[in-house]
Amino acid sequence: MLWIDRLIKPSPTNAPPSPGEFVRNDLAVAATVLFAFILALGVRNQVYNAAQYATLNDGRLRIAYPERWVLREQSEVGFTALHLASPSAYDTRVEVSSRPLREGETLERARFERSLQLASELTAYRELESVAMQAIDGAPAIVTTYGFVADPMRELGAIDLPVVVEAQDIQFVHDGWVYVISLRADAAHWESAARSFAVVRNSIRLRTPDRTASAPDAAGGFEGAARP
Amino acid sequence: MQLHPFHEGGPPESGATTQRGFLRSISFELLGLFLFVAIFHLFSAIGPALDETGLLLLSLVMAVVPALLWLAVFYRIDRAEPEPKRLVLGVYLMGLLLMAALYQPLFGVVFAVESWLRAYGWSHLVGGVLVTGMASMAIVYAAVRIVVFGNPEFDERLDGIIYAVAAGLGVATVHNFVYVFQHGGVDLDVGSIRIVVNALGYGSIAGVLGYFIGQARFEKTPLFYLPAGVVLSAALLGLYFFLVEQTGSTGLRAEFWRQLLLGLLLTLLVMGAVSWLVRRADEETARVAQLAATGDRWEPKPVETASDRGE
Repeated sequence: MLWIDRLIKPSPTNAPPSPGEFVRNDLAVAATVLFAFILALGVRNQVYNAAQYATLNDGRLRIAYPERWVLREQSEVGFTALHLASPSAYDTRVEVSSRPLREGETLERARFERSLQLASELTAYRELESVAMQAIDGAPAIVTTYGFVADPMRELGAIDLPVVVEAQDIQFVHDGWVYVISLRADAAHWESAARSFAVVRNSIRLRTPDRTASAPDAAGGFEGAARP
Repeated sequence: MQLHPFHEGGPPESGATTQRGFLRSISFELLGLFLFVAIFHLFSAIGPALDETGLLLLSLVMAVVPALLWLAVFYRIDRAEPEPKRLVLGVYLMGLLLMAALYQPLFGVVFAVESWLRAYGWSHLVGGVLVTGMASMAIVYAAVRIVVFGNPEFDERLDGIIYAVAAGLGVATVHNFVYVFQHGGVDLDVGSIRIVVNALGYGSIAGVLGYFIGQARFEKTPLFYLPAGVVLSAALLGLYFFLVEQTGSTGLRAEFWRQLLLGLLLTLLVMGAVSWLVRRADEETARVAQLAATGDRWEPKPVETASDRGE
């Protein structure tokens, strides 16, 4: 019997189906739809986690960024990746930079230096929060959240309102290098960029400090733990 | 009323006439929708003259008109035994209410489609089938099953298509409402095309599922039969809207008329196909009834080849 025959005449008799068969069909349809929804969640997660990788400092560190983002300004010590389809004039982005740890330098000191640099470079820079975390190999990390005002349209020669940018710097020391991973987005779209930023965070295994480990807190200083 | 009129004596003599009337009505529907778009295209200049509230109200009316046009077609179809208006309207409203109730929880919260569906071509196609297609067709099935499936008025296979299309139009109306609200009132010419494209897609592809529902109402079907119908119609819906997006944009310029042509073509093809399938199913049912009366066993008709025709 061809499939088209089966489609046209699924039963060789004209006997009507019983009520039990109607219920059986309902259950079969419900199971099919449920299975499709589970597959859809898998597809969604596949899209969320789709990533590209950038390797820094002769392979010392490998950082992921969302696959749809475009790589810009790549060098051996850093890179910038932009989401060109961002809903704002200010493209959601990740900026990564690194430098060798100086003699006697601590993570806390490096963070202080970074704050000073940002305060002098950025318009209306405001530091909002700073928390202790752990990054790759359990290395102490400082995550600093801040905001500033950017004017991306003016840079392009167009007239539009400036944009309030929310940003988060993840600073840590790995293999004798200080890394700064800066996640930035229009403050109005920060929440919607969270999944994209999670790709970056997960690639450096950023997590809250393990209480059983001897991770220092922010007040106690990152000094000792940050030394390579 | 007789529940299974074909099981005893085969299809009524008006069967072929009904199919012709069905296709004629679909043609009138397409003509009506084409006029709908043409009118809004000609008078698109009134859009800028309206304030925001006026434009929004006009757009909401636009969102409902294609569905009403489709529903009007039902009163031309099946004149020998017209479907009760309250049932057709009831199925339409059930489809609309189910989709309205589930739209935000399903598309906004559980699947959050805005954040990933259009990320890639493949995710748009696969996600369109698995989320939009399956959810819409499940709602069509549920609406028909709840409102009319056990009703004695559901007394021929074609009714499965008619009621499923009504449910599909309810689903389309919600999608059109959302489209209108998301765009704060739509440009009259472009918006009218998009709204018609939605109505054509959901309405005609729900008709495919309606064929399977009609079969399952009157025949013993294998376990996979109805799920296959849901999967097939969901796949068609996902593919249709994927193609609509692809054909509607060339570079930065949107070619909305191509979308309309695609919608019209799809409706003609799908409605022609399901109409033919229903006619063949009715013929086979009549043949089985005759064979059963003479004690013979039913087998499908062999496919006619060129040598059979003496060529």
